[in-house]
Amino acid sequence: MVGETNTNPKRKPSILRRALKATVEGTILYAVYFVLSQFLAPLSEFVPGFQQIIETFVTVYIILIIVAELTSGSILQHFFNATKALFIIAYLMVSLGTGIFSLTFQGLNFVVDIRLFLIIALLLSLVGLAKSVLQTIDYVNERAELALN
Amino acid sequence: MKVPIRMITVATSFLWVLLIIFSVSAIYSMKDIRLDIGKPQTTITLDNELLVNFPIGIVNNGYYNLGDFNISTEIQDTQNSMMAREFTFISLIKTGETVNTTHQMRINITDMLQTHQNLIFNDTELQVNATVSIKAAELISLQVSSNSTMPWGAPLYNLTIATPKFTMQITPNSTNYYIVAIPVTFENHAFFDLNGTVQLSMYNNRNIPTGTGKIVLEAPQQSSYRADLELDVPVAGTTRNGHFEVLISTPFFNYGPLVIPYGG
Repeated sequence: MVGETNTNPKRKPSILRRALKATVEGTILYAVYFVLSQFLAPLSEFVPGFQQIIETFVTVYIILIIVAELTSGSILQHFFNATKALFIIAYLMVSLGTGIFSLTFQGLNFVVDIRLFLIIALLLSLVGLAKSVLQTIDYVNERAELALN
Repeated sequence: MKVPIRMITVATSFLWVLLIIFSVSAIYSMKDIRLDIGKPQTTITLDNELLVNFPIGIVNNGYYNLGDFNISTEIQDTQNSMMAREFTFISLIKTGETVNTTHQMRINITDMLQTHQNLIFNDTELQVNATVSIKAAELISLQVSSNSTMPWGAPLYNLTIATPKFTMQITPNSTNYYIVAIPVTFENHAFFDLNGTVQLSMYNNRNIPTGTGKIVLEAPQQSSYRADLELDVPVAGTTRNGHFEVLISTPFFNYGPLVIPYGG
């Protein structure tokens, strides 16, 4: 989920280009969310607060994408990329908890077990975090090389 | 380091897209899964077992196969003591497939009534807990459970054994005897006909049997039963006080001896 960005400190893109890229990324992500939310809409009737959980996640995630893109070419970009990855991990753990939900609807007790989904999502988030760390190391390394030259 | 980072980015992005599309479509396709549970049909087998058959139809019009489909039902008495428990398991229901099966509950009435003797005399509500679990797309497990009640009608509801009446019969050869009549009444609220015997034994105060009698019991379901248990006992050997023992034998249960004192 953490997008590839230009980490070369030598070539810092213009603010206009960064703003344009941030707008495009944010719009695409919102469009994807909008389409997927149509499929998940029936679930909101059964799970109270489900729509709000997804909306909060998408809002914060889009903000982080835009901020990371606007700070592209600086160390702050990597900071926000790592924040994005950590945010996904934290949000998954807070909102999904143990991955087992129970709710009562019309006298029936429903128990939904999405632990497998949670594990896969957490592992992917950890890979995203590791990638951000690698990007930061690469960035700092290039800055050091540049300073030496 | 740029190439490995780019590769990781491509791989994780691809896996995220795959995971999100897969999860959303799995949840969305659940609306196309239908579970129909028909009216239960009850029959009594020759082994006095109650068979409750639930016809079940599962229609999987979703995008993914359904696995580990399991229906479990259990019946508990009012003290939450287990009376019967059955499972029906279907390992795989492919997409576009309709599966019709029968969930069968087998309850041994004899064992049940021997263990829970209060059910012989008292109408009650039995707890029926049903659980349906299913695994959609190998990723999401869903379990639905419900608690309901089932009325139980007692086969010997309001069993009343009235005070014995003694009538002396004088015979010409001086072998006088008593005709002892004990009125027995009850209502058969059960879902089965009650056929069997009621055996009555009379004991004097030295615990020596003085006479026995037996009547045939025929009480169709949802009917009242009333009969006089009669036995002849010789006057000689009969004491002012003693007791009767009543033994009820049916194909479903045996009950007794029920001790009824007489003569204070």
